[in-house]
Amino acid sequence: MTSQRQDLVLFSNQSVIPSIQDEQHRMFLITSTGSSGPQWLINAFVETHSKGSPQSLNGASGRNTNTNNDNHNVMTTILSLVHGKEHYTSNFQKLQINSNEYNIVDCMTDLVMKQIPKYQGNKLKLLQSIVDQIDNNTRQVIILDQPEFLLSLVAGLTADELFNHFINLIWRKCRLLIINNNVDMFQDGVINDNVNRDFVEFQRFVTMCHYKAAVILNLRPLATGHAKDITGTLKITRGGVNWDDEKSNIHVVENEYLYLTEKDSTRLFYG
Amino acid sequence: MSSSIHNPVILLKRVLNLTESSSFILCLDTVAQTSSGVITEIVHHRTSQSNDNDNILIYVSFNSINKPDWATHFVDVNAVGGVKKATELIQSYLPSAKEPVRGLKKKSLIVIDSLNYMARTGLSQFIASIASPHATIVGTYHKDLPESLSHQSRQESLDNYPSALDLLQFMATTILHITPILPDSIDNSNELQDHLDTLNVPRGLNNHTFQLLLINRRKSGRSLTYNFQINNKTHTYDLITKKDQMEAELETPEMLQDLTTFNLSTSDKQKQAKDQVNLPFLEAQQYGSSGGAIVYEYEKDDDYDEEDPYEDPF
Repeated sequence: MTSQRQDLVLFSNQSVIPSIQDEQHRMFLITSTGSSGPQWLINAFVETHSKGSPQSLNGASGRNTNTNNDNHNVMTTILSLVHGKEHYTSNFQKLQINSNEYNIVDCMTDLVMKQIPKYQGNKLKLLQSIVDQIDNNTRQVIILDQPEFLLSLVAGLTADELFNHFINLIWRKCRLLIINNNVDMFQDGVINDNVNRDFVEFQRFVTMCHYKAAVILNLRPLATGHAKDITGTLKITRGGVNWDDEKSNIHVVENEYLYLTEKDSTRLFYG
Repeated sequence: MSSSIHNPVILLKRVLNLTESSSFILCLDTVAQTSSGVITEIVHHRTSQSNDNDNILIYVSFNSINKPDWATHFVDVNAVGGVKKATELIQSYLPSAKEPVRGLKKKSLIVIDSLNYMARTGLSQFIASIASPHATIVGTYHKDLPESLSHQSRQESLDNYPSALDLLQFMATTILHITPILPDSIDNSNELQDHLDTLNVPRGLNNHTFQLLLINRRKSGRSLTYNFQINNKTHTYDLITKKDQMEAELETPEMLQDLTTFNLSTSDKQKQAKDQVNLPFLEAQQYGSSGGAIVYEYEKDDDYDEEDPYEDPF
């Protein structure tokens, strides 16, 4: 690949996670698919929050990225519905992130066998029990990996309940909430015939996330199919909420990158 | 007098100023362009005109935990314990309905974000209960957020009950349809919809500049409809006329660039030459009212027989 490598930049001050000056709670939304997974991007966010910039991307080239050290020593919390603790721990160890700089809440391992039977019939108490596992530190960044799984796993749970009794409670515990949604179901467009309850609730939840997010990071495979030197595209767009922090006077920089993931490293290129 | 307004931009300014007699303004938006630009504009008008402390700006949130900087009162419906409690709280912030309207300097503003989170059977009651002669309600409804089936299941016995959107449009005295200005990469609204259906949000949406279709219902029952382009950074409003829209749809040389290796565009000189070509049968059309005239010009090789009765059709 002869193209020039690019640094990941989300904001006009060249930062990935800017220092938040006001009291507002902000949200980033990652939409990913099975063939364009978000793990490298989650790693980049954890690394940025821990070290100030996503140094492992592009093989430690990150020269232009604004290093933001305000968040140093502030915990990043990952709450996952899809992976166990070891998955994230091994990823972060490879990035040489100190284990006291992140906290992993594993919701996946015991959810179906233990937690759901324990709170049989009381879905809101089940959600509250998960929320209670997260510490209250408004300076932390919380990453929610595929919370939409709860819509399928918890009987009768609606998108509104998931937002009001789970997402919003977690959101109050941090300044920045990063949600990853898997949107494989939408890749062929919305099929209006024969839509069932689960699909409508899922569509409602994902659309609500789009309205609440300030930044949308869309990961998808190449439209033309497989390529040896490109894994997929990352598109950064503005969400439904303006990033209107008057003190820092920055804005979201819309951009589209190509990326290549090989073994443990990911490189970004301009598309 | 508001009824004598013929300038659409002044009408829009009066609506955003809340000086127009419109008690319920409905903002219809999508993920492509949310209503936040319009709300910002209303608040800008409201706060730039007066710094007095009797400004009552209530933000009613069904789904957001953030209190906007401009709001004097923040009502988080879920945190306060539901719609009934929220209604009581909103009413307590407003001046008494018995107080004479002329005694107050300005109308209060109630912003609702958003009306999608209520069951449609409760919508009209909620709007009616917070409506006041001293307040203007600005409610947002997201057109692309599907109605929850849990809302619908409560209404199974009401098969013919109108949809939430129909109800709100019926109640609203002013409707603002908010749409984005399509970025260069998108040809038309169908293509944009295809992108949004696959959750592949294109770049260039949710911009400071957007389009607004204003439908203002007068007391007489007449509706005034205008299309605007709004810039909420410079606070400028440009009326879009039908002529502008037609011109925008006309083919320009830039549209044909980079489509093929052939040169499909026409230069100004070529366009001028094209316009000067006399098309056949144009002369016949000039006879207008005489109707049915046939113009025939004999040419050199025409074989005309004067004695043949069928030769001359005239």
